[in-house]
Amino acid sequence: MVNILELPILIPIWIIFIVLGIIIIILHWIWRYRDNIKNYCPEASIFKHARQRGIAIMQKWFMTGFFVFERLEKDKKGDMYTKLPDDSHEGIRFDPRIQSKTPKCSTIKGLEIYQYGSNTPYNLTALNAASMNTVIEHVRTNYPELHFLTPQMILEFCQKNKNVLIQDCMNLVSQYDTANSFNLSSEKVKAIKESLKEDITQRLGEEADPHLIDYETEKEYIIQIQKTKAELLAQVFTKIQNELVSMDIKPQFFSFSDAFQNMVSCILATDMQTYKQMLDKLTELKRERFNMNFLMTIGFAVMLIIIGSGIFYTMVQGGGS
Amino acid sequence: MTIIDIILLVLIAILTIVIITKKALNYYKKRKLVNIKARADGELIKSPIKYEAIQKELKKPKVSKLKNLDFTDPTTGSILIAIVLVLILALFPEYWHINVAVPIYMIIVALLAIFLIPIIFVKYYYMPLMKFVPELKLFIHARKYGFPLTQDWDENGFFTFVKSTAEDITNLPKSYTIRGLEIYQKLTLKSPRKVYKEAFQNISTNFAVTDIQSFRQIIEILNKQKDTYLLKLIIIASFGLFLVLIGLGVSLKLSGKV
Repeated sequence: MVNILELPILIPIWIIFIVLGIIIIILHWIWRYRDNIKNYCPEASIFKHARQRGIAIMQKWFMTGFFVFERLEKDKKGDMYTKLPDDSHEGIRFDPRIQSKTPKCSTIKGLEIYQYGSNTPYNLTALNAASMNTVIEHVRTNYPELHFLTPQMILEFCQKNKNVLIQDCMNLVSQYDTANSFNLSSEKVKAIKESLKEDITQRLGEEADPHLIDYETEKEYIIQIQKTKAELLAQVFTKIQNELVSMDIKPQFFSFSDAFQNMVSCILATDMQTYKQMLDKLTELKRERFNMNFLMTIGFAVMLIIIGSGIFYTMVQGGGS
Repeated sequence: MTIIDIILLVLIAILTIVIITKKALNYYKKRKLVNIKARADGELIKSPIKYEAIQKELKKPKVSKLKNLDFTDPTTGSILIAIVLVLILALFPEYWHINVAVPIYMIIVALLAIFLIPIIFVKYYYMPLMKFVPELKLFIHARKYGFPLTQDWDENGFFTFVKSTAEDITNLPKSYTIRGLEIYQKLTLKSPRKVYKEAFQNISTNFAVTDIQSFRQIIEILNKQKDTYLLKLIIIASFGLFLVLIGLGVSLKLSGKV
């Protein structure tokens, strides 16, 4: 039987050339297009996947200003943290979408891109980063006496509760001798020292060793001066806080890597990973206990059935004999 | 093949070569101009000297040379293949009318290749990319011609990727992704927002202490372990069976059936 598919047809050679040419052109074009996308837009597959499946993207920022786009994937829907590969040491990142007040970070065309630091479990929004920038700029411009503070410390002290502010300022002044901006005038220093010396002389008595009096005066003076400086610092921060409450954010260019660097939070993504591992361990222990209880129950149930069957059998056999 | 055939063939070949080469040169000229303009935009922010040089280059009359053609480009490459084919046919006209016996299945395969490959590619690769990655063209151009982009945010958290201008990003710290694409952040506000609220209150670092929902899942996992209704069910069922067996034995005994 003749196979129709194998029947030969006579075709002029130029048609074969043209067909081959067309196939080569098509393959060449496809290969070039893919190559173009791979080289010039490696993010395309991440963006496409995210939009197709409705998942968000994480824009992960490093301190150098470098960032990468990654999928914000979770093991299962409803999880509060992102998928964590077994060999990952990067730590856990919380999904911002499970927060009661979800921060909006989305392109106009509906792709959610959240900003995370390389070691932070939380995300920041553009408003957060720009407002942090505004705070730092405001303090740097209007309060040159606070130049010794790092941007992170400025943000930290600007959000401190007034109850703890004075004590924290005291700690700050005792740690940093660089708070020279708050140096007192020489007359005031002299007055404080004389007043302290009088008090100490009265306390120790007139016949006390003058060296001891000088030593005690100097000691008291250091404490006194730190307290005065701390009070001044606290006053400045209270003033700044009051200004910030009514201040508007400036429309501006800003940097997320700076914002993550200056963010006041001591919780790292790796810390959250440690907490998770502890919780997993606890759950595992509970599961082991549960398994033991389960086995005991099954054993007891089997025993009851065997005893019941034994009694039933004895009764039936006894009656029959 | 007659002499008229040969003359006709040579004429067609020359005409084809002229038309295709002209088209290729036009295409190349146009693309080079676009390249130079885009590069100028990109270089403006990096090096004013280089920018000046590019501006000068732009002002020069453009005369494209055939040797500068990029044959790895799909269009130029295709034109080259077409030229080679025409040349082969023109140089060996005696093969022009030779008939070759081709099995039907090979013809079907060739036709499928011509029609199906582009359809599959367009449907499953090109169209999804166009549909789901509207930023594609901008990203490709930005990387190709070296101009930076800006993520332009509004107060509601929405943003678009736009092309940066030179003045925008002067004195800004570098902000870049793989393969050298620079993307800077900009906030544009239509309605004012308060600094204190956004810097210290509406910030995710408050998440751990304020958002009870975040701990819901942990509590759920722990609570699941307390769920021992299965154990209770097993105990009740086995005890029930125990009673039934004894009851049955007793009733059979009393009725005298055994």
